[in-house]
Amino acid sequence: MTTLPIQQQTLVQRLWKVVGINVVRPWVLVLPLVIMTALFLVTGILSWLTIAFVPADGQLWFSPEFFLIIFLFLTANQTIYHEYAVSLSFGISRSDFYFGSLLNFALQSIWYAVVCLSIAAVTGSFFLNEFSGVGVTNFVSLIVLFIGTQALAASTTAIYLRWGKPGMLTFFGGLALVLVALPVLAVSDLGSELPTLNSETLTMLETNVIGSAVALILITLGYLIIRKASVR
Amino acid sequence: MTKVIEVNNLTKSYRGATAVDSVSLAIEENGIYGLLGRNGAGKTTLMKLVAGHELASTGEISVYGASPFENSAVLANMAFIRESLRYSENYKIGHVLKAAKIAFANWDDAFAQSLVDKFQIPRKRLVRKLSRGQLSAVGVVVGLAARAPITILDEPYIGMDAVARKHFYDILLADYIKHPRTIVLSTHLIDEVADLLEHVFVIDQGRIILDANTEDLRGSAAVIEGSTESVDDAVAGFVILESQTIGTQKRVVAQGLKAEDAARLQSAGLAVKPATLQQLIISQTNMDSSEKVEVA
Repeated sequence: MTTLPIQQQTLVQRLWKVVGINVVRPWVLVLPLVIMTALFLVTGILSWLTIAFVPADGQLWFSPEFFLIIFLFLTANQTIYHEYAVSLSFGISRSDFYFGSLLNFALQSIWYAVVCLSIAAVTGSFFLNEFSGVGVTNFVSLIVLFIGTQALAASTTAIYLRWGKPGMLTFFGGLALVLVALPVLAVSDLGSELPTLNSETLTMLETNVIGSAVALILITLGYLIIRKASVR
Repeated sequence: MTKVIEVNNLTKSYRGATAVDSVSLAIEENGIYGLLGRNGAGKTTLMKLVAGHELASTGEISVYGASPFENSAVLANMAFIRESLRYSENYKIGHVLKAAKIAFANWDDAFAQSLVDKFQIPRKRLVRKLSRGQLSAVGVVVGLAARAPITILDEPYIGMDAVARKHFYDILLADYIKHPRTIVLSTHLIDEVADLLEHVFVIDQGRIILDANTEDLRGSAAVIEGSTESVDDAVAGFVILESQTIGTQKRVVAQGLKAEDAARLQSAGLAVKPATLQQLIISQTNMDSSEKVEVA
């Protein structure tokens, strides 16, 4: 056997390569900002026009932040789905592709957290629901929210890549069962004995810790699933 | 010559259906290899296994002495281009080339750009809106300009028209001479690629039924044509791979003829010419797939 003509790159170089492939179309980083700005302006105009109907605390149910979460979910899904086969065909391993994409998602999460907090610093709760000032805890909270959203998208897409439609049907079937079971559990005797988890009883720090743990679990599950997925 | 790919007793089954069945083969460094076979013979599955896109059911694959599956060091040396490869929804050819430039260490961007012009791939159109032939050309451009030490091309040129395919074969050969590397081409257009290939593997129903150097293979059989009676007399004692009778005329593909045999048959009024690679392979694939043909 001959030796490898091209020597292996370091882990950081390999992951950075995947980040580069992920953002071959830089428009994907700009588009959400354009839409967020548009939504921000539209929301502003609408709330100004309907000021009498806005609740006393000035909180809006639909904000650009909400749109951003949906956008990040969809782009993470599209990135994993569309670039998986191409990346593997271009000599990239599954692990490098998955963790490189997650590095990209983490960097995007930091970027959008900075953008959101910068706008919120000027506009207050007008831009971010539950806004309580610019600070490290809020910054981390946004990053956890964005990474968690993208980790959820990555792991559900990994299910599709590994098991196709049957996998998705099983996953969403299971999810539907959980969603039905939770309210039933909550009103049952058993539910009354469980500790209550809601935003009113948890501190921001506790929320961030729980959110990070959930994101980590999703990332790990996604990796375990995608590491043996075939290329269709 | 040193081996870069070794496959031993490899099998891949999907829910009871065996796509690759106990395959063993070796590929040496710097050569153009053909993986030939009919549609559904197992070519793509075998290539996917070698490229680490699938896990084998049983058996071993070794690329540069290690398993390719999830092996970044090995995979960095490979490009696997398939006709069915789908790119991101909003990619244009420029995005594909940019991604390939990032991915491949030996990428030649000037060569890639010249190929885009040569194959007349529209630069402003989304890849998903390209015609099948143009999409095939995208794969060909990436496969050639990547200059990966191991380049696996799974019929990426199949959607191209005859003229574009001829361009591809010429460019592939010229670039291979300048930048020798290991190229594995799968195809069922055997005659078109026959002059390119140094070695062929023929796969049928998941099994390798022919593993031979192309030159040895070409000299191993001949087509003999003439009246049925004279052909029957002439070919007695030779291995007949294929036989066809039309009226009083008969045409056989016979194996094992030496130069003096051919001269003797010609002097007896029979037409004798070397069998083409396609004739040989069609003959072989018509045989029982359990019979692996050995060519000296």
